[in-house]
Amino acid sequence: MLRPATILAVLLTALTARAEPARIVTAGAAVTEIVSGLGLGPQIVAVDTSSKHLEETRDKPDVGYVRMLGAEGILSQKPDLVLVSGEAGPPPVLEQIKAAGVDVVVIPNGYSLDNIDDKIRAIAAATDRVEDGEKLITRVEADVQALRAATAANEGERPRVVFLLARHGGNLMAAGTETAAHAMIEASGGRNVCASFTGYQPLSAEIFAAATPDFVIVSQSVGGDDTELLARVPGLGTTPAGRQLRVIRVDDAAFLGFGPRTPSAATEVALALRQP
Amino acid sequence: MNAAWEDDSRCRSRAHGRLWLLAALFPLVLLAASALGAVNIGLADLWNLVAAPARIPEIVRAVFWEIRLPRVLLAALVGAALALAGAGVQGLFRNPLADPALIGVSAGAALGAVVCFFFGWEGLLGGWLLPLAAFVGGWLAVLILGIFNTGFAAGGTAKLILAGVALNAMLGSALGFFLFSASDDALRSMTFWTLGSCASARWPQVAVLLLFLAIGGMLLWRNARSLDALQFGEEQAAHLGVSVVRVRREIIVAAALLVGAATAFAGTIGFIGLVAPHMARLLLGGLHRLVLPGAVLLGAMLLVLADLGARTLAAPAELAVGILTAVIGGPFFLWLLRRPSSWSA
Amino acid sequence: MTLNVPSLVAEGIVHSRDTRRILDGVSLAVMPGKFLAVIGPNGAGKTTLLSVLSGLFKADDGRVMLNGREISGYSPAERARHCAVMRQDNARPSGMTVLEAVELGRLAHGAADDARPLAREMLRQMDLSDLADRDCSRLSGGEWQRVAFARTVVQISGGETAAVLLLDEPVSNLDPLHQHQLLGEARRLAQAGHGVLAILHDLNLTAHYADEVALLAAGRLHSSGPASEIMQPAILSQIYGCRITEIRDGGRRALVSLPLPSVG
Repeated sequence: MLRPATILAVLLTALTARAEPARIVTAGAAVTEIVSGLGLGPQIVAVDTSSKHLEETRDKPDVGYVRMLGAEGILSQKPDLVLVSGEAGPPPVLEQIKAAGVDVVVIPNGYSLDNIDDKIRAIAAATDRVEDGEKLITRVEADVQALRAATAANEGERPRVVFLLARHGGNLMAAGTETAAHAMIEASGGRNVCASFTGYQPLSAEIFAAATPDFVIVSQSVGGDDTELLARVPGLGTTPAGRQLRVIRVDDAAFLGFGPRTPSAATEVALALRQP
Repeated sequence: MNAAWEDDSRCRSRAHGRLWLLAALFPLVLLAASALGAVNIGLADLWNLVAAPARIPEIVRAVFWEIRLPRVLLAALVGAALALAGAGVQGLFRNPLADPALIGVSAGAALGAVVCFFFGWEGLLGGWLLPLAAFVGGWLAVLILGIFNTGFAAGGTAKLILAGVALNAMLGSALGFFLFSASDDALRSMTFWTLGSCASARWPQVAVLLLFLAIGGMLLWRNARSLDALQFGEEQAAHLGVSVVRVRREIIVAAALLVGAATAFAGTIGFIGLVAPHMARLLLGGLHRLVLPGAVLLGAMLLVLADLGARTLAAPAELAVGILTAVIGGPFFLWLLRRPSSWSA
Repeated sequence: MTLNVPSLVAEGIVHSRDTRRILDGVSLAVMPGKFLAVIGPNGAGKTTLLSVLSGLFKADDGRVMLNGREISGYSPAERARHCAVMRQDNARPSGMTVLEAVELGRLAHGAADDARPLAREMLRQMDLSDLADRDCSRLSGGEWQRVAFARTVVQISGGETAAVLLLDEPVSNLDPLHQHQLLGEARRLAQAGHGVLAILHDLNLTAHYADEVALLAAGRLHSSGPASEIMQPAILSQIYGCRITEIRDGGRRALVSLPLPSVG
């Protein structure tokens, strides 16, 4: 499925892309994963902090947080292409990089599985790897089909799910609507019990108890075992999820990134949600 | 925090000497900051950039003229503006803990910016809506405060400070509301904006800020003697011929212009507005014709150095400049405070 | 300007703060060439009167005329060139030398003004030359009071027209020698044609230096006139509520208040 914005991005990148770039700086985990998936890993010279999770990028120079990039830092890596996700900024910094004569391609974010194909197409066009792009899309489509099969069993009575995000200070906040987590809960065949608010919010013990989640999803990076985790969230212990210790841990870069690994990460969650 | 003078008839000429020293140091700091960065340029190439640009690779020329130089200059202007505003507000309130933030302009600017992020408007008007919103927010706060700039029979300045405290608290609540209700994306943008950064520097912003610095600086300079007289107390200053209410208005307008413009382009940057004027007082004494230029030079150098750290220490990544202002300025300030007798109270 | 026209006149001044009436119909005139002392018990309204006379406070009723013009019609700078005020609550700045503080007395005279020589000369007259380069924050209370006086005098010196000096307890922190030095200087300024008004508490100094005395009690002018008429033990004892007697020593007389309070 192609959106107008994506078509425009593809057209623009097709017009401006040189032959295959030799030195690429990427920012945004999904963008980096796609570039890597296109076989361009060796051409990546630097990545942002969120892209350090791949084997290929672990030792590359770090250009910092995706929203706080510095023009000169990126240019010091002598890239001929800068590929960033939609949240990258601040915007004037991207302008500065363009002003220095380096191609900057922004891959729009989209919190839907359909967007993954659009992202791959845009990046493949920008890097002159259209064929590899179609191959990657085929792989992703297969993963999406597998996910559909896994969630089919949950149609009807969807399990009630809460996604907890760890913020600085160790506070755990629940994902409401308009979050990547909400989209992924739904895509994995669950029902987000926190659909009454938007964004990530701290929840009171009473609301938690009343929401009666069956499952808790957290990032694998959150420390402590399941019992400790449940103890940190007031009210969670009294819910079905708390009583039966039903905690699903996810690799959030994959699960929330809307990159090539997202459908298979969602499939794992969908399978976990089928456990009684 | 009294900068007292030795009983030494040469102290004032010594202060002038120190001001000239700061003025001589300033271009050196600018030069060093222009030569250093993630992309290696060096002093020799710095000269070639001007004298023989053909010898320099195009990418380095672009980095220098489009990125580094505007950024170094923006940092200097932001630092100068914050320090100047601080010197004016501290002189006006005769309070060493007075901060330009006290008149509500920083919180108002932050609210303007946060509202912009909240509705996802930060990219509108070619990216100029964000600084505009911050500037307007700062101004609205100061206009509200202006209602309390009345005569002094009822304890004018004290009332103004209290009104500023209340205004800051109210703006803080509004800010908290927006932070709380913001989407995750907007929240992250807000957080990074409030940490402050000179990374967005472009030439038009440098030009606009220079204009504001000139206007604000002129307003403060023409009130320098009145600020001196205000140190005797507002009533006594009025007897000496100071139009206290007018001077108060002009100082607050100047501080709002300076802090509003600086915050609009670089986010909220603390420490400099509070501490750079004190450094100037410790080094140069209390006369505002020395304190104001001293604060300009010290504030500019502090922020240029802090920004140099922000863009080089973790290169190619960026650090938040707000973290570094205190790291770089703090030890120097403590050393000034600790210096033996000749400058201590 | 003839010596009979008052420099500063207050006519029927009424001033209230909140609901309390502090001044209730006070009229007095500061004449050029005269030293007028305002005396009276604590809380009589002396300092408030000074604030109204100097144009800082607006009177609720009545008017203040400075050199024939209503004082509210002056700009602060213009007013400062005609009327210098030394307040009691003079904050002491730091990072400012004595000479610089005295120079600030010339603030209202514009940038072209030659403040430095005038300030140096005034410091010399007040025996303060040694302190010229000392930081104000390092002065003793008495030294600072003399510096503030010097600044007040510098403010009106060098002018062609007679000016008005308003001094609020100018000798409260001074030792006897410097009390005489300061008040002697004030009287000399009066003799040079300026109008001088000083709020004083020391009755002997008042009797000695003042040409005229205004006695203020409970916001009203009790009496005013030549010092010799007002400074009478009977009047003063009644106003201050304690016994004040007169001691004569040869040709000189001194007013003494005895430690025990008594009525009339």
